[in-house]
Amino acid sequence: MTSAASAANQQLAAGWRPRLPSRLFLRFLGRRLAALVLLGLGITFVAFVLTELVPGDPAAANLGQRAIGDPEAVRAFREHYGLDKPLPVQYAVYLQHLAAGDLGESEQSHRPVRTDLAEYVPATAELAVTSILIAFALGIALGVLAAVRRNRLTDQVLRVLSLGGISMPTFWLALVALYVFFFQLGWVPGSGRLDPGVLPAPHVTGLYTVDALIAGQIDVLGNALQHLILPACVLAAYNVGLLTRFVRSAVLEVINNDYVMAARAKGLPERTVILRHVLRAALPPIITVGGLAFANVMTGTVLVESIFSWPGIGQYAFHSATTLDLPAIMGVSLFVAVVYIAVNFAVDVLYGVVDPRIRVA
Amino acid sequence: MSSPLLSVRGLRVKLPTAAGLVTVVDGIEYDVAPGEVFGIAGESGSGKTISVLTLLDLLPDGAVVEGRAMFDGEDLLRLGPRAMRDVRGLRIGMVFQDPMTSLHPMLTIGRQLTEHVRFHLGVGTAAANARAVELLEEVRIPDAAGALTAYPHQFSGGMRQRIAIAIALACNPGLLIADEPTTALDVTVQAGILRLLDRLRRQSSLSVILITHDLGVMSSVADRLTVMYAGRVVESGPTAEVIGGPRHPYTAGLLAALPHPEAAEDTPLVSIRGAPPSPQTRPAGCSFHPRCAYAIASCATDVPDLVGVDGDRRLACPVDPLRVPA
Amino acid sequence: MSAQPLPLRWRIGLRRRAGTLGSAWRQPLAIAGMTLAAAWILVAIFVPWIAPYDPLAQTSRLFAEPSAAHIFGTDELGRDVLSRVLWGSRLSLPLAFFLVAAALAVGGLLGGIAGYFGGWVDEVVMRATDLVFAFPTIILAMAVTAALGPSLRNAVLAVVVVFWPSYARVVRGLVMSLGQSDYVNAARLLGASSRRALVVDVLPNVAGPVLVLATLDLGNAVLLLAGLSFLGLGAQPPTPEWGSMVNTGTQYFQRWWMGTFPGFAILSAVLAFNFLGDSLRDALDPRTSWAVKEQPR
Repeated sequence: MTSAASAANQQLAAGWRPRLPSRLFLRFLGRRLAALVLLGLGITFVAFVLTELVPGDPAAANLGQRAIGDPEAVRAFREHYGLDKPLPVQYAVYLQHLAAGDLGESEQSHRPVRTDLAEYVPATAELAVTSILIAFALGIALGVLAAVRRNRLTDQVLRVLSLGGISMPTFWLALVALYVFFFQLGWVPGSGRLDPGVLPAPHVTGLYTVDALIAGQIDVLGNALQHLILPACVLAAYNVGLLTRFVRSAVLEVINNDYVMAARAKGLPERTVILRHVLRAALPPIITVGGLAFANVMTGTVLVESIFSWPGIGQYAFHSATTLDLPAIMGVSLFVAVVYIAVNFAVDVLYGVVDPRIRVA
Repeated sequence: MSSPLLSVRGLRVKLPTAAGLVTVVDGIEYDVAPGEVFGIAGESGSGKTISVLTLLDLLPDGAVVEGRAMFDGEDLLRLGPRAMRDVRGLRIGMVFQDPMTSLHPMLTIGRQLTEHVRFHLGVGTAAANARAVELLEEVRIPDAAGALTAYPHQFSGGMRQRIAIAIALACNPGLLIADEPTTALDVTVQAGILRLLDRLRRQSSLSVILITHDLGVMSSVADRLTVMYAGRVVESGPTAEVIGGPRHPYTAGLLAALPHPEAAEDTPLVSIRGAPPSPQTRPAGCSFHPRCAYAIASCATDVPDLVGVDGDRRLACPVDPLRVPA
Repeated sequence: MSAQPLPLRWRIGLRRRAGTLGSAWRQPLAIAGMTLAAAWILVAIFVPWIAPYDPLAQTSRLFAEPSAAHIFGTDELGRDVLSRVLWGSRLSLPLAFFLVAAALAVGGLLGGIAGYFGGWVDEVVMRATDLVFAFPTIILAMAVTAALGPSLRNAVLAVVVVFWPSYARVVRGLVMSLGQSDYVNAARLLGASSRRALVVDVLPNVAGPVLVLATLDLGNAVLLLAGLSFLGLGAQPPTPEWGSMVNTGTQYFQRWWMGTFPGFAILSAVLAFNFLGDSLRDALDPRTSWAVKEQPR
């Protein structure tokens, strides 16, 4: 036997690389987690610096009218937040409070910010999740369409439309949509999560649609969906524009690869080739947009919830901004940033799930 | 030959470019007999890959095709999309050049082996998986059952190409097209792949169209071969005869350029002067004449016809400078 | 040797880029974008002569519907909406340009330094960008503006804080990859000083992506500034800023003309910049472009 042949046989006997127990991927995730914790810490530092930047006496700002006449309240406040101590100590005190979940007290509601947030988060969660689902469904469909019809009329029209989507001021779109679809056409209700007389289903998640589904109250479900549809679509507009462009380029990167031609050479119908082969390969970069889409939705809720009288943290942030309720502003910012970090981490995990090469790399 | 499995006549393919249509394949013809390995030799730019992609209608949009390709009584070039789907994978299988990119990175081997089997033959999952294991064993992949749930990146290049061959043969096609199947692989692995192809075709009277630029590979497996240059056939015939006694100056040049492992140390490497033309810049008349040592005046104006010489050989050179006198 | 010849690659690159840029301007989208942007710039320059009324002049004709006398109607203090919208361009447009220039300068400088020197400098800059990116844009801008006090000046500062990291990242990446590229090394081997190598070889390649980012950011700057003003954190009344005008419009919902037209102004300005930026990006990366013809395979 020639040396070339025996070498080939050796390679055959060696077998192929079995899938490792994802140790490397878990290590990668662990590193990411550590980095994220550090990032979380950095965020608290940013928030702390910002609170320090506020001109004027923080006690006066926080206690408002009461502070003027009550030196005892002022003294208690200063002691509680360590305002007499040097800055690094103040930061330590600040972190201590954060760790205990104390985000300060809202000047407007005179309740702990934490309580306010807990009350408003479910409404925004419902809106955000719905909006992202709509955005991905539409965005992926339109993006694939644009890629498959590249450079033809459909593609050019979608290009202009997607540019329009990311150029639109969301608050303006909300206004126009509400005026047209509620005020003029009466197709959707104008405010809130449910009609005035309708009671929400028993509280399980705080998401009216899910709770109604669990309780089997289909009429409540229908009502909640009616109220949900317009704000969710308005919030999705920007992301649909973004995703259409993104999906289009992701698909174009993949569609000329050899394995796509190989799939066609097997005689598979074109629809299968596009959906199972092309889209699957384009999915990893599309997933990474998930984090960005979430950030866009958060931005949108701040601008838009008050227009729809949607009782979520976006409206809370809006009112805090207009009334300069600093503890509330800082509290919301911190909360949203932390959730954003968590979402990005989830995206990283999802990426590894979708692309098997990453798990072993 | 008695009744060829595939018979190509007058195949001409034009592809769209920014500057208009460009003729990439300029009128080729050949026959492939049942159970034989038929080689198509040529350099990059000769149009050999495009010519076989045309058979399966895998060309980009806007391509213009002329000619006939009779396969099993049907003209492949006249089939509609539905009919073409029933040919691809089922009656004609294809293996691509680079096994690192021709398998889908995110689908399991099992899925890639069975999806077209289930589509074409309508078999259930269990039956399809059993067939997949059979195929993997046939191409000598160790632990075939385990491989079904594995992904391509877990395998070496040589193994991936074996898997690709298994995929191409899964539905028992009558014809296998292998486009440079060993070019992207180590030399040590090449021999294994070629032996595999040879064994498979002997077992099942499978015909193989083998495309390669490597005449060494050609000589070890191909029964008959055709040499392409700049979109046209310049010479064809039984492999042993063509390689043993080339009649076209280009074929002779290709063979002379092969470094001989037992040549004397200071033997200079021979090359054909000039470079192959791109499809847009092919010369008039015989496309090879600017580089040909034997060209005469008419070579620059007259396109040579492919004519039969000596039995099964065909030659596109009116000068025929290398003919061995009888 | 007296004068160093330009590296061959750069000469070729420049010619190729000039060619593709030249064809970019002929795309309909680029033309539309340029026309729209030019129109707004002209409005911003000539508004004292174009606007029919004083944007701050209050009249007794409150909430007048759009008519011949007031094409866009009047607002809650009887001011002409059309004039206010036109004057708004004098605020939003120059500010957007200034914002992007500032973010580019700060970010580009920091990114260039980080990429060039590496080491702990790089670490610090990268952590800073991470911190900014950890917040959704408006949240951070909102927090910064609220902390500093609501005014247009602070809103501008907040937007610069939010925008600079993108430029830092892009410039850093480009500087790092080019610093190791073969032709920069070759130029150095030929004796050109590394500073010269930076200017002559690195800058033209950095300019392209940065230019695309800047053009698109012009639109984002207008949007973010309008958003902050919508929240009451940017321009304060009676300044005619588009975002704050839409805010007032939401309070007087049925007087649709008060909010619709300023918002439309925002949309058209941002569209113009996005059209331009998209065409530019096409010119620089034909692979996934929306306009360039299919390449032969």
